[in-house]
Amino acid sequence: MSTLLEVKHLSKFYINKKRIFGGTPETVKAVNDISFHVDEQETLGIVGESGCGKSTTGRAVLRLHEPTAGEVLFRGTNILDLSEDEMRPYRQKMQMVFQNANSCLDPRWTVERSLAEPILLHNPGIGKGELDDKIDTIMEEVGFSPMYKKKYPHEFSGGQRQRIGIAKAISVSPEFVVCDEPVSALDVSVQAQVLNLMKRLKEERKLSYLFISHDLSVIRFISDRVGVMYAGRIVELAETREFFKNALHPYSKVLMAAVPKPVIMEDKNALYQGIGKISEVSRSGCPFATRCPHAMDICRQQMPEEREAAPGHKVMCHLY
Amino acid sequence: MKKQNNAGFDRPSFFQKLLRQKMALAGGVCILAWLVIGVVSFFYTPYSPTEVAMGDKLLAPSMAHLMGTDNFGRDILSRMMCGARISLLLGFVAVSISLCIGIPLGAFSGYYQGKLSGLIMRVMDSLQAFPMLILVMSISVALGRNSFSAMLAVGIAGIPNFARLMYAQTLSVKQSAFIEGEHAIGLPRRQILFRHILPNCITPILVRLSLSLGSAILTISSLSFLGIGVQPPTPEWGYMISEARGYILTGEWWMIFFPGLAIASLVLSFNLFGDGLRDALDYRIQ
Ligand SMILES: Nc1ncnc2c1ncn2[C@@H]1O[C@H](COP(=O)(O)OP(=O)(O)O)[C@@H](O)[C@H]1O
Ligand SMILES: [Mg+2]
Repeated sequence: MSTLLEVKHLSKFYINKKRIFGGTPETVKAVNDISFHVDEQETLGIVGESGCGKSTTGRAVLRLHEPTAGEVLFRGTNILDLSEDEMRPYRQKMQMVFQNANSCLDPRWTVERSLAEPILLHNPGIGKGELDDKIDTIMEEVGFSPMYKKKYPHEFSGGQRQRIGIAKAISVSPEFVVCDEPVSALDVSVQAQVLNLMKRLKEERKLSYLFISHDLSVIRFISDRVGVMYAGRIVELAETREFFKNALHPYSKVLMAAVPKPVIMEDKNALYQGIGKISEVSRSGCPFATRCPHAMDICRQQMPEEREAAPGHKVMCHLY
Repeated sequence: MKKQNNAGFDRPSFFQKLLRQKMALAGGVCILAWLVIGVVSFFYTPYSPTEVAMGDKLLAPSMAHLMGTDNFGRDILSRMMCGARISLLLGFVAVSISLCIGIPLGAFSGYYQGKLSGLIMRVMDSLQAFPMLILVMSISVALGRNSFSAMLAVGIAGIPNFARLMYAQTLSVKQSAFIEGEHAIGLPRRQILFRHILPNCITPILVRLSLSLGSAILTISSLSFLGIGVQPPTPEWGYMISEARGYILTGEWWMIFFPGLAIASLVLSFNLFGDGLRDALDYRIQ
């Protein structure tokens, strides 16, 4: 299968100015030199704990936050080189589903108006009748009767609103959709419904997803491949089945342990120190070294290279 | 057929919602009534509002003079009618001045945050640090004692209100989550500003507008009462009250009662109307 999206050495640093009390500005390396690709009609799941840079990755790929360095190739074109106007056709092909659908719906607009906006933007010549048909079709596609398009976002429940958010994303017929924790804000029964919808749309519309979640079971359900992020880096990347059978990175094992929560809670302070900040540890060594049960001297001194442990199974760890 | 299709999806329009607010409706009707009286006063008043007739002075309300006459024998009803147009006119112009300067300043500062915006907002803060009436009095006296400078002073003093409100609105709407979604679909920045950010800022501005009209009219009347604003013989409610002060204890109650009632009713009406407007414009309230 051919590659749709290729991300090379992508980084996004935020500079937090501490203005009131002076002090040096602090650089947060939210995403630090990551590379991955998404094939056509493939779902790449990105998993990692809160604050590890998942959302930043999704936004940087779509240039919602301008990346600090790296390349994002969409069908071979580096979209980071494009101007805002040149970028517009790619915005049609690359869409986003947000964690909270309030993030894409103007509260003063009816669903109909919100859905019409992207369609009109990317198909300027479209007629009124055709536009109406298109909106009705999309409403039905995400499981609503077309008359619901007259409603306002606040008149929907969380799960319904998320389906409207999905409808807006697919309304311009994209090929690639970044889904940033699309079900994390929903309760479990509704999660399944929305996940099934997304899976169905992917088949029907031949979509590719970059699917971000902190929930391994969600990732397992939806992904073809899994990437594990920790402190701004992708530490392991493998086919879903291979990953769940044979996770290699010590952090992946922590994630997968039956009761990972207490472990994480205990080390939370240490963890957050490790994240992003240019502390001695993360500057020179593996960011996970401070928490890793297998940490060796070399882990604290040197960032491990990416290694291919098995075909298609990449891991960044000195153990392998 | 179409109606049936929308069964359960009809929602009240803005006017329907406004009509449902009884108090706001009363306020609106009262404002409208004063507007009509003000317009009528251009063409017709029972007597001349300024002509002195010492023979008729201090007459109690009667069929000839419905609201009585003042200490110069002028018909109070006629003076009230002219007062309405003066108060409304000065109030509207003053608030328009605040609005036309305050809104762009606030929107600019909120949308492009930089050194200049910081400076603008600090100037607004310092203007607001003065008590309203003191500020208005100083500006008004500095510009000269007449109705024009009183209006200008009230307008200038009202700028920070609108600038600060617009600033806060723009900031919060700009950072609200759905704006990112508009970037994601590729909507140009200019269109995001005009289609999404500004319309989402409008509601509180309209509400403040109504409340500001009430307070501007009150302030201008206060200035006239203090002898700084509208100058005699122009009939103005605040000045009429000022003239009537000396006659409260001697029993000529009508001199102070009617202008006082007029100011109170107009200011209250604007406040009620503003509150109702807030609810009618709220898309969440059905
Ligand atoms: N706009 C921003 N400015 C500064 N720091 C940010 C910003 N957005 C995210 N960060 C920081 O970048 C890191 C990664 O955040 P994020 O990508 O949202 O994580 P995740 O989605 O995995 O929870 C966090 O430490 C966060 O504090
Ligand atoms: Mg996130």
